Amino acid sequence: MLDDKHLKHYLVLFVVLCLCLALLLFFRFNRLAQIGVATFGSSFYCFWGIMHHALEERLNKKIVTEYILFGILAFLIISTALSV
Amino acid sequence: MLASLPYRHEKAIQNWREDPRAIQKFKFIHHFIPHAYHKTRAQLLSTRAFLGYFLALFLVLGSIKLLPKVIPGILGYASNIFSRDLLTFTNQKRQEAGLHTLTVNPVLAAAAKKKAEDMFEKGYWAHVSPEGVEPWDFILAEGYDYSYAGENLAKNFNDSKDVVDAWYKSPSHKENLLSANYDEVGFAVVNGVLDGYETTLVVQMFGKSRNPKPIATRVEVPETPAPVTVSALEEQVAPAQVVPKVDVAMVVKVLAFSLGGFLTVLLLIDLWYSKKHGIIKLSGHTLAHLVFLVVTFVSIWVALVPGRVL
Repeated sequence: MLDDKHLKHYLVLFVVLCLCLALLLFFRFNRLAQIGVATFGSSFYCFWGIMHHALEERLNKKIVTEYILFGILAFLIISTALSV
Repeated sequence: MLASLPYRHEKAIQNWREDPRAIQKFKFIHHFIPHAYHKTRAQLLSTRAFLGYFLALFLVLGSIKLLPKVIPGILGYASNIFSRDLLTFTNQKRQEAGLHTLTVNPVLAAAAKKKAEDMFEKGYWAHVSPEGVEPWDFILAEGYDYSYAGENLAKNFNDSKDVVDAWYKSPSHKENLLSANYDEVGFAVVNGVLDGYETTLVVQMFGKSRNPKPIATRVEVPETPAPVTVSALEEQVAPAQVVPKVDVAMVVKVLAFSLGGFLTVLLLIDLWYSKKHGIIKLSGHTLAHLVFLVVTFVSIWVALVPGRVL
């Protein structure tokens, strides 16, 4: 199960992602702002993953790549949906 | 029983090593489940697989952009927009702001229709046509002598409420919606093919007439012109219901959900299989990836609308 430290990290992630969702809803008719929010959300996720693993002292190149790939994928999916 | 297990296990491994089909099966299954020996995720969650997903997304995006140029009208935006609803939602916003409601003027509606048809005919999406014709020219050409006039445009929307909400969220369009200078409004909801996509254009023209009488004469309304009712408006401007062969917005949503759903299933298998077999991998947190993907899906479902305003 998640320990206290993990729980705090996950809470930060959850709150920021929910904030991004709320901002996407707020800027529902403003594509440029939505792209900005998607960029921020994806970048934050990469940052969160790297920081979380760095604090746990188990960061390696593979983990960094994995978070970056997930961040890019989510951004591309949202951008594709926004481009139509 | 227990003592015989290692021998049986070794035997099984020996048999397996000699069976090419078993090796193939072993390799194939690790596309979906983590590798206990190498302590890695399923191959479909590898860097190479992700590069494949990126390529697939670029191909989809490229097809959506190129296909309408090759076969115009095959892709489009489903819509169900009614002038009646546009009027209701517009007046609702004005009442909320403490303003008087607008009445429909058929001359403004005719000008709006001409503008929408002109955009389809000449293939542009702008307030000013490529020849430099301005919205006021359409209004004046219909014989509406105005002291104030304005124009809002929208395209690719699915329903009337989204159109008015989008205008309301944009400061310049909101200014038109909530201007006390206007008394009358005209709507045009016209279907056609623009830039290769089958779509619906919505034109909203606002005005304050200098002299209402000539307008009534021009549209041959009886001597005592009655205010135009909602039902009359529906008769003048047909509701637009577009059902394209392929709805772009739906295609993109389905593809995004298919890819995202597939990755979610792979991550759930990874979570379950790794726990069951005690595989400790040096990788990112599966739970974090799942949360991130779910937020991405919800964003696409609730926050992204294809419509644009101008």
